[in-house]
Amino acid sequence: MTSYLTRRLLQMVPLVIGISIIIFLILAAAPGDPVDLLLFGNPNITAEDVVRLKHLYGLDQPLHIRYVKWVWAALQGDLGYSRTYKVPVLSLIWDRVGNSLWLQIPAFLIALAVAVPVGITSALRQYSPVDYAATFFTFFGLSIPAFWFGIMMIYVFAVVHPWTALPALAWLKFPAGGFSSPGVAAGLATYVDRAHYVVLPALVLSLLFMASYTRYTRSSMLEVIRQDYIRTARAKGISELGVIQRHALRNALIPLVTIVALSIPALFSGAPLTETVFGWPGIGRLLVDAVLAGDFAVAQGVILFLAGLVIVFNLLADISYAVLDPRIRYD
Amino acid sequence: MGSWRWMSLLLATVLVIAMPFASRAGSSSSPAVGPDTVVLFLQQEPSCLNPVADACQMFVAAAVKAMIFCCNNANDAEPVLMTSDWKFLPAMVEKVPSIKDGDWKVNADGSMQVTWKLRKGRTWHDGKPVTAEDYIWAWRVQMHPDFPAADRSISERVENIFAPDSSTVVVKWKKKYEGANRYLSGAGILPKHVTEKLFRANPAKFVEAWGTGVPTIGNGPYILKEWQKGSSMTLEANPAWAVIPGVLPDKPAVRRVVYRFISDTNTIIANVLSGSADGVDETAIPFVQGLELEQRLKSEGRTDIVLKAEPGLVWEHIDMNVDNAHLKDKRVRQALVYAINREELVQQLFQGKQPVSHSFLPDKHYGYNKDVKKYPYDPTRARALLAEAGYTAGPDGVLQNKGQRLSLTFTTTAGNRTREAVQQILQAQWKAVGVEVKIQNQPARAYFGDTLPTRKFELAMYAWVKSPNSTCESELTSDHIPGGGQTGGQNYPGYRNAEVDRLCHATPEELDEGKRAQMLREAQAIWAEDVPSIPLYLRADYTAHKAGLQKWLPTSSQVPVTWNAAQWGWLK
Repeated sequence: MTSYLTRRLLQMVPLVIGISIIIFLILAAAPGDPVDLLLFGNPNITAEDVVRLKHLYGLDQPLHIRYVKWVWAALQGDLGYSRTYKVPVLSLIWDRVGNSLWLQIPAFLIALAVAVPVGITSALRQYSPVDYAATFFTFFGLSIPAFWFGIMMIYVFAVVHPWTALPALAWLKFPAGGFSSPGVAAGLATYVDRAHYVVLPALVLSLLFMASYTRYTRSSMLEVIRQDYIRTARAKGISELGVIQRHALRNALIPLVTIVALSIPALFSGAPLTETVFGWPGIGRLLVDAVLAGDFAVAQGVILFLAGLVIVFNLLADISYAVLDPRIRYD
Repeated sequence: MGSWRWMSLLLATVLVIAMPFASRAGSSSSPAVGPDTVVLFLQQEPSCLNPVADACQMFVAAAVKAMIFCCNNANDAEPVLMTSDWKFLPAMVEKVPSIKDGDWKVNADGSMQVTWKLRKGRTWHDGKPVTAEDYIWAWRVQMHPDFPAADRSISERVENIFAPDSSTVVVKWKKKYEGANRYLSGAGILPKHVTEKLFRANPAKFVEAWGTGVPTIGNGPYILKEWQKGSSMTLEANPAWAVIPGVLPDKPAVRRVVYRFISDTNTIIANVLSGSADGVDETAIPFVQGLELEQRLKSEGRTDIVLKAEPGLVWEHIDMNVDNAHLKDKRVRQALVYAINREELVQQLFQGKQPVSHSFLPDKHYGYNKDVKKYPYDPTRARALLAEAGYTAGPDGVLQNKGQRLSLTFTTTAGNRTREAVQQILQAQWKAVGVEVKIQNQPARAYFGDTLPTRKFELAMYAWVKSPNSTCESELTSDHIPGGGQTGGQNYPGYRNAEVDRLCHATPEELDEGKRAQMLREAQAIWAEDVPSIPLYLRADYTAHKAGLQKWLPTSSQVPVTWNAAQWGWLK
């Protein structure tokens, strides 16, 4: 196991170097560096100003020198400054990952809480109205674009809220985008306020997770309940609930656990569309905004961070297989 | 089939649930939060609020700075305030200097000396007095070689600044400059007592070191209290703010202004409709969505939200690269303008709310030439001009000259729906006179960052943002043509005319506004005859605000609607 780990860790080195070169080159090759774009916003900038600024920002140096400088600084934990936000990239990423998790974890939990029971019921009652409703719902969830659904949710729950006339449902009104109310006192009030904002985007985001998890649960459950050992269990006289719980469910959930585990790094990478529609300052929106605004340091930093996450989680997944499944040995 | 029954039941349920959504939204003329607060929605977030840094010069930053610093005109934090009727009033100073009064002296060698008297008793947000040193400091910072200031076009004209006493600033200008009574130095003001140490520690990092969060000490009517990056910003009325009679005569009635940053324009509009937004500034509602919103409000009979769109200073046009084999002939350029029906275009697309433009200056500009050559829609004339230039019909219906087909590429920012609609209309009209136009759009980054500055285009559509005092030096003179390894200069068509060169170089140094206007009118007359660019229309920017919010006065210029936020108030 130790030698396997060492080998995997060593393999990561060229991988990370390769990724960093690609990230750097792609962003540097894009036309229009920050100074060129500045020029367009202001007709008074002269040719001398451009030369002076490019020199000040180090943009006049050859690509390989700029790459080495970037890597050297990155190794010391300095990913540079954001051109848009004027703050260190690292602290920006840190903040935004936190914000994204605020949205992703509730969405993920809602999705699981709904998908697993719905998937199971739908498999056990195949071709029943419940199954049709669930199938309709999953197709709806998979095919509806998040930005459209987001706008619709805002429209219904924030703009028209058609149940205004019913006082009992007055609480069913949510903010039309945003992340928190300015000026809310610290402590519990912050969390209550944040929870209010998270409802709509989390529902929208959970729909996509929910749809695919339902599909997985249903199909793997369908497969399992036709197995011989289920028939054997029934023949032994175990109650139907016992058959489902102890024999079917445990086996049916294995593929789902894999899918869920693999989607954990995605939780950190944010959801650009949902975050943009709801004005949620998460990491997905940060990356999109940075690319569009030519904020290279941020774009490079975020991509590097996400690439690192994928590498680390892959390694963790491989290790956990060995831990969970005694048939797998790394020697 | 049982399953069909169930499916139709499901569908019916969905429809029943959806039905109430068609109902109307309620009225929302009351403040979103409370009678002492205004909630504004912005589509972008300012990066920083440092008045000297160019990085902080984006329009949204100006909107916030107009409240934190005093005051906003073309540059931030100059002592003079520009109003919505484009007047310049003395805000931080006792009067605007003038040649007549003798506080603006012009020497025989063309150099100038302007004396500003600061108003007494103005303070920074931390209570320290605003002094002449703060204006001098701002200029020194902007001129420091290690400070990444991009635009020094005004401050470079200043020879030196000194302060005979703490409330007098004397500015020596190297040569004549007409803006010397609007700009103290072109650098605005900086609180020296707060920023000096930070700046001296590392001038290159000063933009990151100050003005990116709380506290950002200003001298304006509002104080920055909270800034949640990516989400919101809260400003509170400055309790020490003293009114300026005749300029900003009232104490701030709105105690708190909250900015919320939402990048999706549909979400912003939803917030306007739901009443969560008290106001939306010039940047947030794209024109076409604004038109739709206006119709919707009208059809629903809603009077609680006021939408305004005044055509202003944003000039949409098509540059023609005069170094192109076809476009170098003036007759071809003129024919291209005659061939298109711009009046119909603005009627069809914008209901006429964005008027056709005929000159490189907007018609509200003091130097606008109303007698400039206008090109009415006249395809016959266009064909005649092209025939005169030697073009004959080719086998495929496209005109040709000595075997060269009159085929041009037409570039603009990809994904901009309005511009793409304009392109399609124009393409069809040009085709009707035998000109083939191929649309080749590019992402904004490549277009503005590479294609335009290197002049790799034939027809290029984009906009310039003018100011009430724009002249023509950087966009029309032949020594401002970029390309050939040189960047800088915005004469993208490559227009060269000796007389226009002379006029455009001379206007900034002409101190008499009447004479300046005359020179600009002459330049427009020559330019309109040569047409290096097709003037299309003047853009109008929508703002929205609740009917109860008083004194919301958009300037339809580069000065944001927040210029008079200290005078806003809710109808009681």
